[in-house]
Amino acid sequence: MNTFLIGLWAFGLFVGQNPAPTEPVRAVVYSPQGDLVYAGQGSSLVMVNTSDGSLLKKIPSGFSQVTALALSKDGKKLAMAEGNPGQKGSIRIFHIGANRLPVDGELVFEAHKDLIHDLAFHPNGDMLASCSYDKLVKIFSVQDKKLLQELKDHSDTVNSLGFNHDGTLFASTGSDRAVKVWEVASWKKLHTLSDPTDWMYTLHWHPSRNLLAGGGVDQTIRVWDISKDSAKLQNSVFAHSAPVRQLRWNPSGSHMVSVGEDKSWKVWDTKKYTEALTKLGLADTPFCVAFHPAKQELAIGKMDSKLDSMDATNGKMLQVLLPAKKPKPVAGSITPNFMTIGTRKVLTLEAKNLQLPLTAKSNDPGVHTGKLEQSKTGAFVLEVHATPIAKVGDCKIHLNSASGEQLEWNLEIDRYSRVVESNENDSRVTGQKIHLPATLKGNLSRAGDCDWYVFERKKGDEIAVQLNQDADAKNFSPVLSLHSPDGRLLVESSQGLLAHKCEQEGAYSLEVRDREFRGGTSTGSYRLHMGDFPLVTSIFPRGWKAGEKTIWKLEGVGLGGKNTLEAAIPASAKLGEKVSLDQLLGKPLTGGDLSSVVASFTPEVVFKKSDPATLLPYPGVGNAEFTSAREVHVWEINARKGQRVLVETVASRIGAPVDTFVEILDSKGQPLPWKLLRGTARTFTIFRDHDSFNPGIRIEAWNELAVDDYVLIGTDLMRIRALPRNPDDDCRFYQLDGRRLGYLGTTPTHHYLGQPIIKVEFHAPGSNLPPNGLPQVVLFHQNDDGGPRFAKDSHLVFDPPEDGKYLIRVREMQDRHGAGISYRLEVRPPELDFEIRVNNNAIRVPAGSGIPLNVDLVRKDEFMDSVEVTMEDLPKGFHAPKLVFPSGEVSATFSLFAEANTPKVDAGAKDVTVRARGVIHGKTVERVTKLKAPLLADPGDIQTFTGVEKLVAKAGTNTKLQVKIERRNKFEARVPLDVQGLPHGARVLNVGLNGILITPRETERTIDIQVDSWLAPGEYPFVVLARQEGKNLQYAAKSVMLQVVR
Amino acid sequence: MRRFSCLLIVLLVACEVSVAAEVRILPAEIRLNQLAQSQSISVGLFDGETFVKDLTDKAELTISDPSKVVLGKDFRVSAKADGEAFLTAKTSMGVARTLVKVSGAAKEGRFSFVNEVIPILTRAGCNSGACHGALAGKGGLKLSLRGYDSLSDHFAITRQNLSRRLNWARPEDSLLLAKASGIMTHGGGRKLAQDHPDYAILKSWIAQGAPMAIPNEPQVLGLKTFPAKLRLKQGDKARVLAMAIMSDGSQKDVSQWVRFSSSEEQAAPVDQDGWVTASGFGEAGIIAIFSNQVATSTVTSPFANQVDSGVYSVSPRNNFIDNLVLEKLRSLNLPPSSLCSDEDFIRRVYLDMAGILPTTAEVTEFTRDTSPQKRENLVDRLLIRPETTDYWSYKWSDMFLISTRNLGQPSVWSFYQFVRKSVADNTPWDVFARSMLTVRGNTLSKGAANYFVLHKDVTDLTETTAVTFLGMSLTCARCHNHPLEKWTQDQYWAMASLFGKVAIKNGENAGEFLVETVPVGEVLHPKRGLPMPAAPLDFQPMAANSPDDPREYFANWLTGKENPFFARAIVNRVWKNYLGRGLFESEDDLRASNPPSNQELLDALAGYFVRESYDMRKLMRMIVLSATYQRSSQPKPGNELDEKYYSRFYPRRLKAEILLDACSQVTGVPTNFNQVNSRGGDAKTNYNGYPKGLRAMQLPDASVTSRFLDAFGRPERAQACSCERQTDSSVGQALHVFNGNTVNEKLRSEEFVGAKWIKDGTQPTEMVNTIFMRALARKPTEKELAKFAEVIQQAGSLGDKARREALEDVCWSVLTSREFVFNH
Repeated sequence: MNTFLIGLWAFGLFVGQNPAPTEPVRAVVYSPQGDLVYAGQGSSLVMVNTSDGSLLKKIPSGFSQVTALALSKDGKKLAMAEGNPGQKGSIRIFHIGANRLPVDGELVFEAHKDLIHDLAFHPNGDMLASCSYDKLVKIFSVQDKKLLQELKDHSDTVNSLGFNHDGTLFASTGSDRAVKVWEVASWKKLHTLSDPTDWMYTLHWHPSRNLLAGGGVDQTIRVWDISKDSAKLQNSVFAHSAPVRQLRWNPSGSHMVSVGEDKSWKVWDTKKYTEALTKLGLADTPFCVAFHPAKQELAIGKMDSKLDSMDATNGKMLQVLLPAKKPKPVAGSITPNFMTIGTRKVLTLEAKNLQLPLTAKSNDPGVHTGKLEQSKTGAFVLEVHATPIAKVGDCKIHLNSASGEQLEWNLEIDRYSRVVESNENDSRVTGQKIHLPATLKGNLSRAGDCDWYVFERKKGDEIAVQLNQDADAKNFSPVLSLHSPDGRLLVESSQGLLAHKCEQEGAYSLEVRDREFRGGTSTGSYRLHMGDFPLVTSIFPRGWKAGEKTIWKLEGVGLGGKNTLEAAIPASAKLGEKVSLDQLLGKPLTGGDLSSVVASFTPEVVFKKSDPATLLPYPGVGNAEFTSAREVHVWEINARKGQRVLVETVASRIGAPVDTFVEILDSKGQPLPWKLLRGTARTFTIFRDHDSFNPGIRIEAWNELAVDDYVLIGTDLMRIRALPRNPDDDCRFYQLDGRRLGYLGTTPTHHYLGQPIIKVEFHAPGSNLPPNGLPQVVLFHQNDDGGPRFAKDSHLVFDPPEDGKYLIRVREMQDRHGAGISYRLEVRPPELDFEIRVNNNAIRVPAGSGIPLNVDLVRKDEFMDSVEVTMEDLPKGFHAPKLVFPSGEVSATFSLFAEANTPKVDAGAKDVTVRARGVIHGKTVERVTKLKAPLLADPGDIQTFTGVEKLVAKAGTNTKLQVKIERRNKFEARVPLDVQGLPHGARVLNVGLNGILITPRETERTIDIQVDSWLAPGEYPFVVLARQEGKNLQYAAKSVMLQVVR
Repeated sequence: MRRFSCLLIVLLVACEVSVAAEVRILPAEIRLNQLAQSQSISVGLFDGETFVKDLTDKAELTISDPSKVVLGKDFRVSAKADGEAFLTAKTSMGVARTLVKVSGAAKEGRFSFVNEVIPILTRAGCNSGACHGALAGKGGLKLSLRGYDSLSDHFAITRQNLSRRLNWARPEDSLLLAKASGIMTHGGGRKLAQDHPDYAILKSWIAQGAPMAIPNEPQVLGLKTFPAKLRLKQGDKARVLAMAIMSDGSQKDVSQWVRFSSSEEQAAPVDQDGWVTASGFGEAGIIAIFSNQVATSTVTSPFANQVDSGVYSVSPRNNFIDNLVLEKLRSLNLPPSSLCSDEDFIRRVYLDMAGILPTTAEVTEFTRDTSPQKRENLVDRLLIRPETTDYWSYKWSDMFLISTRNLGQPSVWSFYQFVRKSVADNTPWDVFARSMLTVRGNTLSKGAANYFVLHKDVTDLTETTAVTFLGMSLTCARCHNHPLEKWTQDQYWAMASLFGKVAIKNGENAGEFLVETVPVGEVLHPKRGLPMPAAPLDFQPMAANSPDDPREYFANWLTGKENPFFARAIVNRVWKNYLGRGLFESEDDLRASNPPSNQELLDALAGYFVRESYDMRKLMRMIVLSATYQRSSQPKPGNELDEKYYSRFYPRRLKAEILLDACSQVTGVPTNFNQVNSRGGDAKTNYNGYPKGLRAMQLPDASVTSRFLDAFGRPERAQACSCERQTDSSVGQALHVFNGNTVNEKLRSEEFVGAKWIKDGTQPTEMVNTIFMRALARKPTEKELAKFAEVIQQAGSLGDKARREALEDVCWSVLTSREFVFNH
């Protein structure tokens, strides 16, 4: 040890900052995968899991110090240098197994007469080089530890060495200040580099080029460009304020790390040899460093026995790898991993690192755990009893140690003895033949796979099927379908439960598939329990008046003939609350989604097939089931002129797979016309087919169309919200929740390219209109889907033309019928109300800018009046204007703005209150929602200004608005502007194909806003925002108030 | 009517006409109902019901009472006065006589715009696409193409432009006549001479006020041509006449107005006067089209072979197919080839039925089997093989355009699985068609519903349904009456109306749609702007206010036993699959104006299929067990030129997918399908849904990336047309096989079956034997064995690497041979 080092050590010792370490980390290398590190700590080799810092293995050395480590390129051999100072240096070569840990058969040999300072494998793995305090460099055969070469050219301690990337060159350096380069093929010395001015500690070759980096006591990192014929100093950089202890290139050679005795480490950008990162203040002197092979991570071994994992990009400590943590307990396999209800089994639970004593228990009271022992192999052996009341499905078995550790295994509880799926069962013909009852274990082996099982049943037999799937199956939405012996589809279920009573004898078949035909590992495996166990698949009616007893009809099998139940929904239930079958029964029974009911507070009736029409009280609810194909139900109501009636079905919204179609008929059963539509102009859909949701439809021409016009495409009546801004723009139609709205009971459907679009005007039914070459269409009181928020349920608004009896006809659009295909038909007066909704995701507002914030108003039952919205409790420095939703409007956008000097908002800041006020039946009603307090974001590259707070515009004219941006951070690219939240009837005119652009380096743009003549006078806030396209960020100006005047 | 004829025994050259031949006048019955009405006639020699020689210009023709009937130089008889007269034809081969009845001769002829004027204009070419029938018309006059829109045409001629085209007072000065006859300059030239009978008709029509219709005007209900069957020697000529069948029960000579064409111009071209010339060998349909009615006569021109009639009687006849094929061959003097060998049969039937090669063990077992029913047993085993299910699932997937080009991946699987289940269950074709066309519901639950998602446009739906299930193209009739077929624009839109109530909605999940029939929904006729009564082709319309699903009405008609198209279309597809050539060569061009190569066989197959309840497997079994299917592909002297009548098996290149699978099967190296082309075809995305070992024929999606499949003509599944699949061979294909990656990478692969042979030290002769058996289902000839084994043997002396390379070369030689690439 040189005097300088001694001095440093002594300094630390005397000032008391560095108590003498017992086990310094002198060497470290990562495994090729980076999942563990090998470290020489004190006198041992330790292996640490880099994911959690747990100790995987520790191999003590027979000497006082482990001084160097080297890993062969293929990761299959690890060389360790161990020794006693001044006495000897020995080498051990370990064979590394598949788990990256040493296996038996290590090679040990004495190599030097003093400590070995460095080791290196030749890239092909057949040679190992070592250097020592004894001034020698030696080359050994890895195969048989034979000394191949001894290099004696160094005149002092040799501290570091290495082979270049292709193994043709070799370099060594030491305290003689010289770097020597050798030709490997001949071991002829090629170059002696004498640039260093003091002891050299470290050398490292570039991973793919012949660049050699070195450092040492002269505190300098030097890089030489070396070939067989020349060696040039490429770079020299003063690196640390104390000796450079070690340096390493990263796997790509783009960066280098150095550790210095000044307790610092630096990451170097090797393009310019400048510091990419500098971290000072390590707790103790670093001795060694290694780059993670795949991540931007480092391991730094230090004098203080610690090996730290650091982030190479920001210098943050990731974790302490040494001293190693106690290994975490790990659960292995459970064998067997399934058992049948009513049986006992002895299970073997594989576990690691779990401390005795242990207790075992299950999370199912029906699964009892018994005697627990540890086997000779270390696994745990547990007696388990799945009692008859055990729940079919997955049961968790836990082992708890006295110290609070817990491991969990999944035990599959089968209803019946298990059968395993065989291959080639992908059709009814090739289906796997099984005998019921059985629990079948299978999986969808690939995309598109369908598994078929065939079993014999007699007439009158019952079939109950329950499917359990792996808990971690990410992409499996099972669909079960049962087919009769002659191949007819009997029942299909997507809830994993299926029941059927056989009406004929023969071979029935059951198909299992994924709803989207996915397969492979991501769908996991499934278990099918097939037998005649009690199973309820649906209940009818699907709701009733709370507190009033009724007879519920249960659909299912295994019910012992008891298919009815008389019970009441608790009177305490809330309107619309779902009550489970178990609550009605008072005991658990296997049942699916369709076995819950909803509570109501109006009179309820059940459809009577025997009657020509079932009388429905008003207000009231009718309940009916589609029991046969093409069944049509007719209900009768008495209604009065002037009394608006809402007619709607409730089915798909409560989980029933039903798609209703509702018609209102006159008392004679004839369809009741609603409106006569007369075509007045025509255009066509273009560019693409259009689905039934998208509010945008590309149209051929719009010179005869205007905002708020109604148009008919196919059978859809829709209304124009905004005309296309250019030929590459869609015509926008009124929408809610992103779904196009249908009017007068029509339901949006798909439209093909080139379909006629007819602009229509409304006339009273029966009007005699002269032909004009365009169609006249009568709309009846009919509805398929009620629109967004009604799912597939129907909804009609009916204004009775006169007092009297009316009929309501209901049918199912998909031809579904049978158990669970039921609906509730509500007739009631409108119940006006509204609700306010704001996206409550974390909002981050750039200081000095705003962000557009969208507010939705949910109008219920034809509530159309205006609503005022205010934001309360905004953090200091934030602004939001008052919003007014005009009559019928459902969406508004404003700028939530943060002043430039807005103080930082605490994460736990008070929520913002969004308060909406409207008038219903003459009374002011308030509805409130909460919004998480907005946070402050970086000011970013752009700031947007409009220069005005209010823009006065006369209805029917165009108005200009000047928008300016301030470019920051040298941001010069183009900036698209957007205007959001303009009221219906106001729009931006000068939108080009690329939107509204501020071109590169420009900073302003004038926007033309047109205000339609019909827009009501008032104040409407809107937002102007600029986009930073590269970062996908937006910067809004303060809200501008558009004041519309006549 | 009594028919007068004279039998004359004539001795003619053997094989041309039987000893009992008869001279006849055509038509056999002549009725003329008004003054100057005329009828074209011809005189011919008949062998039974077959016309064998035209004698018209050689016959001495006389009229018994010229005061009643006049005979013109153009072989037309015209009415002069009410009464009867005999027309007698004396020839060297006999005498024929027919009675001509005249009634209503006192009535002045009244001419109909639809029944006379438009046919005259059509025959003159006035309303053709090149003249006034062009979309923009010509010279300011725009007529509907071939007169499909008579109302518009009548308006244009009589009223448009201040009625400039007609002169009511002096009809001969009408622009219509002056231009047509060349009196005035006419861009189209002279179309109608002033002395032409049609000129007179037009002039009379104008003089009569140019009415759109005459009172009680009959409509054309049908058309017939005669003689129906002709057998002509090469170089012979004969005339085909045409008669319109009118709604009032009358018949009317329209020979001068029909449009004639020949289905085989090489064998028997026809001119526009109906004169057919036997210029080659074979059979041709002479098609006459008049007023959207089509009729066909068949002309046979036997090959110039000397075939012993015993050839046909000893040729194997396994079922009715063989009877009808041999009958056709006999009529054409085509000798049938003998049956193929067992080796050829097993390879052929495996490839055609299941799309795979037989294994060595299967070939060995089959060839050793001495059972007389062994071919039958083999076919029965193949019919229920899963590979057969894959094969037909793929074929139908082509037809139904199942592809991620058009649908999302889940929908592709859903649709494919629907098809596959139907094939696996051998669902009767009528049930299958009905289930597809009347489906309602979620596209992921009911795969067939994707058919409607693919064809949202009602015109697309109508036309695709016609192509798919009727094997016919209706597209022309979308805009105008079909020029080559009987279908009118009105019929098109009436059929389209059957699909007008289909609605598609988004499901709750992305990529999921709901198909349903809504109570309202009209399809408007593009010209009339009104909905047409929903009606299938040539069938009564559905009741106007019926609450039923119109699609079910359509399905009832489609799958009805009386439907003349449904069974024939599918039978022809299946036949083409096995025989390589369809009875209608193009699978989706079934029409009256495209006669099949063996009408009797097509009818019999369709009848069998219907009687067997549309059972596909029974149909396939019947076809492949016929001796016709089992004939050798080796030509026999005399049938080398036959490419149409099944005198031999026609070799054909393996389809792209089958060829790729065959390469995989021989080499033991499966193909990886792990990328899918984007919808635009300009990008690829990784897809891991197809496990290694999946055959190309098991792919549900035609957009799976494969240069090999593309090179060999895999269809894109973009349009419902069998023409999408390219079956021709090309230089590109040859280069792909010779130098491309597909075959060479399989041979170089570590999985190559030969790697194990090298490792095991297998003898070169065994290697060669095995390669031949795997690829060609036969052992090599002694010469082949010696040559190939020598190559391997010699290379083997240089070490295993050289031996492997030699083995790869041998295998390459076999895989690139025509014998491998073709099914024969």
